[in-house]
Parts: sequence; structure tokens; C-alpha cells
Amino acid sequence: MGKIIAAYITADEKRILGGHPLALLVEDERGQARLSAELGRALHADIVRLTNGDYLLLTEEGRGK
Amino acid sequence: MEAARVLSVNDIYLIATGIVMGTVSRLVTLKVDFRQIPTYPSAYFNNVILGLIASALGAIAVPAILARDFVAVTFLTVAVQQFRDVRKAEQESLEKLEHSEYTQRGEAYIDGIAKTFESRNYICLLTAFLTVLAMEAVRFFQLRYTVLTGAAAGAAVLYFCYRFTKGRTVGAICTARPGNIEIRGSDLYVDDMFVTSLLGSEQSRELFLREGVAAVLTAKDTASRVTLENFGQRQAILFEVIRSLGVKRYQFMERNFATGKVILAFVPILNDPDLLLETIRKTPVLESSRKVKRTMRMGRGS
Repeated sequence: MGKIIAAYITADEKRILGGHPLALLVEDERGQARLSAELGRALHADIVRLTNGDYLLLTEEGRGK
Repeated sequence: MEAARVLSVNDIYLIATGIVMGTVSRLVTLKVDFRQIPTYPSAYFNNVILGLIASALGAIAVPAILARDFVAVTFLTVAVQQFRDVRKAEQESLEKLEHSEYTQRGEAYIDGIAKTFESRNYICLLTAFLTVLAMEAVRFFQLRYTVLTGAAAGAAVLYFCYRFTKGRTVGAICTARPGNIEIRGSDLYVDDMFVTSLLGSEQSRELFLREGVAAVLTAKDTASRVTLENFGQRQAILFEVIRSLGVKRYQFMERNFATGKVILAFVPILNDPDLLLETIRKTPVLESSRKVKRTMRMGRGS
């Protein structure tokens, strides 16, 4: 079982390329953290904060948490 | 007309002692410990009955051979088929439960458990068979001495078979100690070794710092390291630990290539570091992952 990127949350619109995965633009840092936490709970996803400040939501392929 | 063949009292004692010793051997090897395999009471009962049947087959084989009833001995092949079916049934049952557990046992662990179930039935059969054989050898003694001889022979067979088939535990190949949890950004470190970067949210970091536990496993030598770092073996350790303590959230089992250590970290339901270490040490070393030094020295094979 591998990981799937469920969503990408960024503050920089240049990093939104479209297609899969879902990429969301949230410009303030607190809003990013809140949205990633809420989506993480809803999707049972793990959250990774990248060094550029963006968030990745990862779900387990084929299995819930 | 063929004369009716009736069992003598001695034969009945012979067979009964064999069946009793064989069944006792199943009871002795049937441990319901922290692993809870077989489950209690239904699966436990099933295994006792299977042991009784295996013992009966072993006990009857000797009088059948002595009566020159060689056709009757062929039922031993049916027994072998039956034991293989026991293994398959156990395997299928555990595989079906995989998605209902906190984490998966893994195929290697299931294979090991199923093989153990099969081998325990052979121990029953062999114990009963050799018990009756020993009693036949001293048949000219008084009945009570014959029974005592059979019981002693059965106990000896059980001791040697059990010793031969008994596997080692993880505690014999590595040391386990608590690890120090540290979070840098969204990365989790245990004893300065990277484990994961999945702690991106504030809640996950707080939860891990407040309630998380970690253990560091260090192999005792190179051969043990090959065993310990085997994926199936690590999966078995993680499974046993998580089944003992439960898991609220997150479970990580990483190996550090630089140091050769294996790190285990998760947020348990029961926060008991002593139970964590004890469970790790008592986890069986899987036959499929075990490296026997003697055979390793024999070259790489073809």
C-alpha cells in the first residue's frame, strides 16, 4: 500500500499547476494550517509541511486510518 | 466367517495412554499468551479436539501395524492432508482478519503462525505413536509399569519435539530500549534519528510530544541485523506492540541505514513503556526471516 497526495495547499499561485491532486490557494499562514488540519481530519490524511511553507495531505491507498 | 476381533484390555490401555499423552502434548503447546492465538475459548477448544484426533490416529497406528493391517496405516496420509488443511484454514482465517486489526500482521507472520499450528498436530501424532510403541516394547512388564514407560516416553518425545520446533524471540537477537522523541518542524526524530515527516499539523505534534512512545531496537550481531531488518519481521513486531497497547494515531517503524537500528514510534492507548519493551522482546522471530549462522556459512547456494 502506498500514499496518495489528496491535496496540496499553497500560498503561492505560481505553484498551482492544475489537474490532480487538488491544489488550494490560501494566502495566510494561519489559514493554511487551519485548512490542512480540517481537511486532514475529514480525509483521515497525514499532513506534511514542506520547507517552502506549503502543505501536503497524504492518504493511505486502499485503507482508512 | 471371519472371527470377531476384540481389543484386549492391554490394547485399550495402550491406545488410551497414547491418546492421553498426545492430547496432553497439544495442551502443553497450546499457549494462550499476550498474542492471543488461538483465540479463547472457541479456537482453543477446536485445537484441543484436533489434537485429540491427531493423537488417536498416532495411537492406533502401532496396534494396526502389529496386526499386519497395513491398509489401516494408510489413514496416516489422510491425517497429513488434514493437518495441511488446518494450516490453510488458519492462514485464510488470519488473512481475512487483516483489515479489522489496528495494523496488519503481514504474510510472513501469518505463514509462521499457520506452520506452527500444523507442526503442533504432528507433535501430537508423534507423541501418541511413540508412547504406544514404547509400551509395546515393554508389554511383558506389569500393566502399571507399561503405562509409566509409555508416559515417560511420551514426555521425552514431547520435550524434544517442542524444543526443536520452538522458535526464538526478538529479545534473543536484539536489545530494545525506550527512545527519546523530538520534533523538528514537521519531522519526528527518535534519539536523533529521522523517523517521518508526517507531523505537519500542530495537533499531531502536540499529540506525539504529549502521548507518543518510541523504542529503539539494536541487533546483537550482523546475522541478527539481517533478521531484524526483514520487512516481515518488523511488521510482526509492530503488530504485536500495537495489539498489546492499542493505537490512538500514527504508527511508524523505520530502520536507520547508517546505524542499523530499528525505530518504532506511535501514540498508544495504554501508555505503558515497560509493556512496550516486554512485547517487543517476546515477539517471535519468524522462520521466514530467521538467518541461521550455520547455513549462512554454507555459501550462497545455487
